[in-house]
Amino acid sequence: MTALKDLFFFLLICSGHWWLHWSFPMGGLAPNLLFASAFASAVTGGPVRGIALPFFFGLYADLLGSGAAGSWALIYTLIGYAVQVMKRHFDLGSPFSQAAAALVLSLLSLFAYQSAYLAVSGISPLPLKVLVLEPLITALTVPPVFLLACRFSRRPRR
Amino acid sequence: MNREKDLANYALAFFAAASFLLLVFPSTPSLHSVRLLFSYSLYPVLQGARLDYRLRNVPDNVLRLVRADQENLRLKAELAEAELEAGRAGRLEAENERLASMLALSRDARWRGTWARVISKSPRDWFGTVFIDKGTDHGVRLHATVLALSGGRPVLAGRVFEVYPSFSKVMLVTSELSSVICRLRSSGHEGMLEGRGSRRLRLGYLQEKAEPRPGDELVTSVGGLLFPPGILVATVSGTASRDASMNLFAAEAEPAVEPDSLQEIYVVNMDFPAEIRRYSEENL
Repeated sequence: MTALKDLFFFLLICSGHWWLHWSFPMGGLAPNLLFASAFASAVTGGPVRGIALPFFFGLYADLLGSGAAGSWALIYTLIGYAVQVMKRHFDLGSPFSQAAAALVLSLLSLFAYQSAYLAVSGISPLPLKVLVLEPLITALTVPPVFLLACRFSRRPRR
Repeated sequence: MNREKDLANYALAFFAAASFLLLVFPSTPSLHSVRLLFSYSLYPVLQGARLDYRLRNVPDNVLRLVRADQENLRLKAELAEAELEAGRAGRLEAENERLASMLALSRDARWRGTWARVISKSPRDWFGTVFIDKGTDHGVRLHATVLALSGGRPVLAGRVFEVYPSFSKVMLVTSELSSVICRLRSSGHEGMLEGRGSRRLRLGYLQEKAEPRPGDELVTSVGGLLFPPGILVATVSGTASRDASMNLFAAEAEPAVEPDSLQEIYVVNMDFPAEIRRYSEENL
């Protein structure tokens, strides 16, 4: 049952992310629902679910992007693990702490992606606008996505 | 807590390894193909004006993909057909050239006869016999000389061995049963050219003075009863060696006819005197 709920959550977020990016980009930018969901899943989920779901969200991000398959999957997996470590030391239950942690991790993930691409192929895949603004927009969407993730998670909301 | 840590570590190791595998193996094109397929199928959902219109167009797009696939299959079949047709045209062109050269031969031919096609060959008797599509109905006679073209020259292919109303069996010079009296064009000495059931022939009964050299041409002899004289039969391919049983010499020769590529042949109708014909039919 939990797996079905996770699958439904995954499909819902994937569809929402796609729809948002197709229909409502704000100056070429839209909140990265995949990142927000990966973060929320890592916070609400256990050690396996909290890493598996981010991996699959990353895989979907690879599917949508034009980069090498597996790059976002790897970054999101690492984010999932980082959140697993972080939540032992920080309270990630409040919206502010979620947004702050998401902002930092989003920036780190974008820089990691950018750096890896620059190192491997010498090209910069992300424009500066995305690097600066997307983490902010995404961080704002994390609390509502977290609420949604809690509904689909077995764990009660903290 | 430790168990959770361990689980997290295992999960990290597993999913990181999966990501690495995706990165290392060439999975990107497959992933992009999946994306294109979904994008193409679901494009109207995002671009259309009304929801029902958008949803209606999803199957249309899938249908278009299926139709495109069907058209692709049809075009592939047409391409294969066209390639076959091109191959057939090439063969016809080659045959046309061959027949044109043969037509020139039949105009210049010193012999009267008929053209025939090789219709069957037996793998078990590859160098022995072939069937042709002309028989007694077309004027083919038993033991008639059979010529073929090699490099634009008429060469001896064999003789008619069995005759039926609409087809005949031809014994090739390479057959183990075949023997032709030949003359060395260079020295004029005669010998007996025997088939060996292979691409090699044996020129026997040669005098010591004959001295055949590799490359010497062997033509049908005036003394041969069956074949018109002067037709190229073979080329000497080896030096002469003494025949073990007799005080004569023998040499190896290569047939002028190519048994592998024999397709059209010319059956010569020789007008021997009736006595000679009767004698040859009785004794051969």
